[in-house]
This record gives sequence, C-alpha cells and structure tokens, in this order.
Amino acid sequence: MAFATTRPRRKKRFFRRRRVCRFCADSNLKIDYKDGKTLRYFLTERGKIIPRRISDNCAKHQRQMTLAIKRARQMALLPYTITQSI
Amino acid sequence: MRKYENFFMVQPDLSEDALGAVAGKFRGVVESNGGTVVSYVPWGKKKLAYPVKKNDYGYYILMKFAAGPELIAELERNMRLDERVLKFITVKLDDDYLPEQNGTEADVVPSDEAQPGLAVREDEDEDDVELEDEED
Ligand SMILES: [Zn+2]
Repeated sequence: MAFATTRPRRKKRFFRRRRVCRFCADSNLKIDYKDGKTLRYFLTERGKIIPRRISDNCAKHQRQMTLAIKRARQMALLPYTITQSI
Repeated sequence: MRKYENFFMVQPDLSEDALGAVAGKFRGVVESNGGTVVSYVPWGKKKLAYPVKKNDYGYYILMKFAAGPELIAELERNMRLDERVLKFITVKLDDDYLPEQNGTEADVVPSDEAQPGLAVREDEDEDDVELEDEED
C-alpha cells in the first residue's frame, strides 16, 4: 500500500460515525418475535445475534430485539446456529 | 383479565378437518376455563429454521385471548399433551384487558416479507471516518 509506505510511522484508526437506532428513527418499524424475516437482518451468517455496536440499535431496542430473536428461535422461525457443511 | 397470545405450531400435514378439530379443542380450553378468544388466525405452513420432531415444515396458528393467569397453565398442559402440537409460546400482551370493551380483532395474516428499510449495511466503509494517529 503506497499510503502505508509513505508514512510508515503512522497507523490508521477507524471511528465509525454514530448512527441512530433505526427503531427510534422510524416508529412504523416493529420488533415482533413472530416476524422471522425482519429479525433475520439482525443475525450473522452463522445465526448469532449482531451486537449493538454493529446494528446501531439503542439499548432499549437491542433488548427487545434479543428477546424477540430468542422467542423466534424457540418457535423454529430462526435458527440457533447455522453450521457450515464442510 | 389479562390479554395473551398463544402462537403455536402443529404438524404440517393435518387435514382441514384435523385443523378444525385443533381450533375447536383449544378455543374450547380457553372458553371453558373462563377466558374469551379474541382472535384465532391460521398463519399457514412455513419452512422451519431447524427440524422439529423430524418435520421440516410447520403449520402456525396465532390465538389471542383474554384470561386470568391460571388459564395459561391449563392451556399449555393441553398443548403439551397433544401430539399434533409441535411448539407453542404464550406471551402476555396486556395486564388489564376487558374483551367486551375492546371487541374482536381482524383476522389478518401478516405479510411474509421483512419490513422495508431494515437491511443492516454489511459494508460499513462509506460511513467510516478515517483518522490517523501517531504511533505510541
Ligand atoms: Zn431505539
């Protein structure tokens, strides 16, 4: 990388701009454990819950989200894990 | 009374008659124990996220009702003993609810699509703010 070689004594640090919680921003969006399709956006490829620092959910909505995902898993609407077949 | 919903899943291959019998049975459990069924909506067959008792599909039903807390144990006991029922969950919706003041609810099956405008941006780069820092 040309950038790195020209200024070798510096390192890059990334600060993500703080975005707003989408459920606070749009009151039409609902968190419902029966809505697997929507909740799936908040799971990783392996089926883990995406942390708040990535999803930008506020604490309140992340709490509602994790509860809804756990209920959806219980009802087989969402997976507990997705194991990659090798 | 309280308002609850019971979301449950039955075997995917039940006939119309059998589904009617399931509806009659669980509505009956609620009504005969002093509760009131507010709505009973079959959501239909869905692919499961993992197999349940060797089934890859399940038939989902959402029943909302008004009842006291003691009815939940009785309803869940009946569901646990019924081999047609594969999964169930009961969620309290309202602590203080009178069905006669609220009327019946529309039997709407929600869309099977995700709500719009939700996608988590996989590529975070365009929103990253790049700062440089002296080492040490
Ligand atoms: Zn929020």
